[in-house]
Amino acid sequence: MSGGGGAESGESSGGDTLPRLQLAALDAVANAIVFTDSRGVILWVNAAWGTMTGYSRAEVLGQNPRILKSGAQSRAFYGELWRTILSGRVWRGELVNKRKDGSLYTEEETITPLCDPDGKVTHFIAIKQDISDRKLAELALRESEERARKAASELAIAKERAESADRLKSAFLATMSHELRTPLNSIIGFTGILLQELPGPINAEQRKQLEMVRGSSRHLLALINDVLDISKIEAGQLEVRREPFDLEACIERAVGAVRPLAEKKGLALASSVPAGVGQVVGDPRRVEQVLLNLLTNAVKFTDRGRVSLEVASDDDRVRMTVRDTGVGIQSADLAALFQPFRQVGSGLARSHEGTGLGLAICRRLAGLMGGDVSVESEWGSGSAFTFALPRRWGNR
Amino acid sequence: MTRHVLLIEDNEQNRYLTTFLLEKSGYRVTSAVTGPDGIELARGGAFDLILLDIQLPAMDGYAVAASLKADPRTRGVPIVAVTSHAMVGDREKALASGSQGYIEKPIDPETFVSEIERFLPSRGVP
Ligand SMILES: Nc1ncnc2c1ncn2[C@@H]1O[C@H](COP(=O)(O)OP(=O)(O)O)[C@@H](O)[C@H]1O
Ligand SMILES: [Mg+2]
Repeated sequence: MSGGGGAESGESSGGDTLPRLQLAALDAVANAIVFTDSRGVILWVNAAWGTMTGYSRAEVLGQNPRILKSGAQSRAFYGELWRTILSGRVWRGELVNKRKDGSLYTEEETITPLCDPDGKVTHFIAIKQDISDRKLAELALRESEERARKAASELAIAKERAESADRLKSAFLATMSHELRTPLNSIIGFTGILLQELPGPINAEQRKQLEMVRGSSRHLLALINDVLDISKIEAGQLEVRREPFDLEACIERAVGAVRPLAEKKGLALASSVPAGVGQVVGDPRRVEQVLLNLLTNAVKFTDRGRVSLEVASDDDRVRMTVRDTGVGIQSADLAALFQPFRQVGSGLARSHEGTGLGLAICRRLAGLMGGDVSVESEWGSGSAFTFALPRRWGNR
Repeated sequence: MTRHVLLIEDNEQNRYLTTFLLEKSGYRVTSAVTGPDGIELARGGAFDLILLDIQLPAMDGYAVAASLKADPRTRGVPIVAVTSHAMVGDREKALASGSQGYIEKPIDPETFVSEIERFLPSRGVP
């Protein structure tokens, strides 16, 4: 090798000091080093080699490095190795070898052949390093990378599935909404036209029956709206607006809408809104929907007395309480009240029209606006439903 | 002078219903079943108002409105969108695509005509 020649040319005195120093240095380096003759017989090993293999120097001098063979490499592997170095070329590679105690380790090895002036190989210098720890670390890294990749791809698949399910739900709701309303539009429309006598006069019985058609179709529309609303909410597809609006106007509209119903039943209907309730941030249509539902229930489940809407307000919240003097609700039924399709104590024989969806929708809508609906009731003497709404919902 | 309304609506019963209500109130109605036919008619005629169903097959009402607003021949005619979706955002989408008005189905036959009347350009100006 040319490296040795360079060192020698720098030598100025003490003919045998330098080789001793060089050998001492080789003995001290961290890499394992072994010198062999051209057949592979070990001539010298350094200290690191002993540490790596577990053999002492004395034990291995004159031996062949095949004592380290673990059986992990094939015959062909060694054949290729020998072909390379015997032809005078450097071999680099990794091997799994066996220590004296039988344990296995992975080494990274460079074998450099030394040639005489005729080009004939005379010796080999092998320099090696135990890379078992690095191998283990690499393996662990590969495994954890693999796990991470797998987790990421599973997550992506799950996300994709969820998103396509959401898209499907949303498209389904939109289609249902359209498909159900289209025929209802002509049923309600034509009934209205006939009742207005636009095509020609109708008699009293015809009017009576057409009014029944109109009542039923309006009821059907309310049911469709409720079912679509609850499905949209459950599917996370219902968005609520976030805008400042005049709460008092909203309350007046809701109370106005149930007034005919209350009058028909001979119930007193009163609302008290303190001056300066002012503006609230939320979705006015949805707030009105909640109030209308609570008021309609109150009128529906009250035969005598009064229904009132009281509003209390502070800096943070508005509390709207719909109070009635109706049948009330048994305490055992209070928990199920806000669950979809629950009508209290009615079983299949329903005495009141409805879907049992109203309160479920109310509570969810209120929740979407950062509020809540709660109930207090005394069986036989009346109920109070309170819709609490933050003034500045979300505070953004 | 009789007001002329272009109705673009794919459902036969709903088309009859709207046409009937408008004609009873003295309007003249021309109707189209698809978006492209509606656009074609709008380009050729002088309409005072376009009543546009949003849920049309193939080319939906938003696309129809956008194309009517992009064409100088039809740009000036007010559009009222009629939708049975009633999803949040429908109204905003309809208004953004160029409609002046927005009516939800089912329509109320008693108030329908007066509702769309608000979107007609005022009379008397030649
Ligand atoms: N103000 C009330 N007084 C007595 N019972 C009520 C009142 N409000 C609701 N309820 C009970 O709660 C049930 C569920 O109400 P709701 O969800 O609005 O459905 P629906 O009105 O369609 O029956 C009603 O069927 C009724 O039994
Ligand atoms: Mg109810």
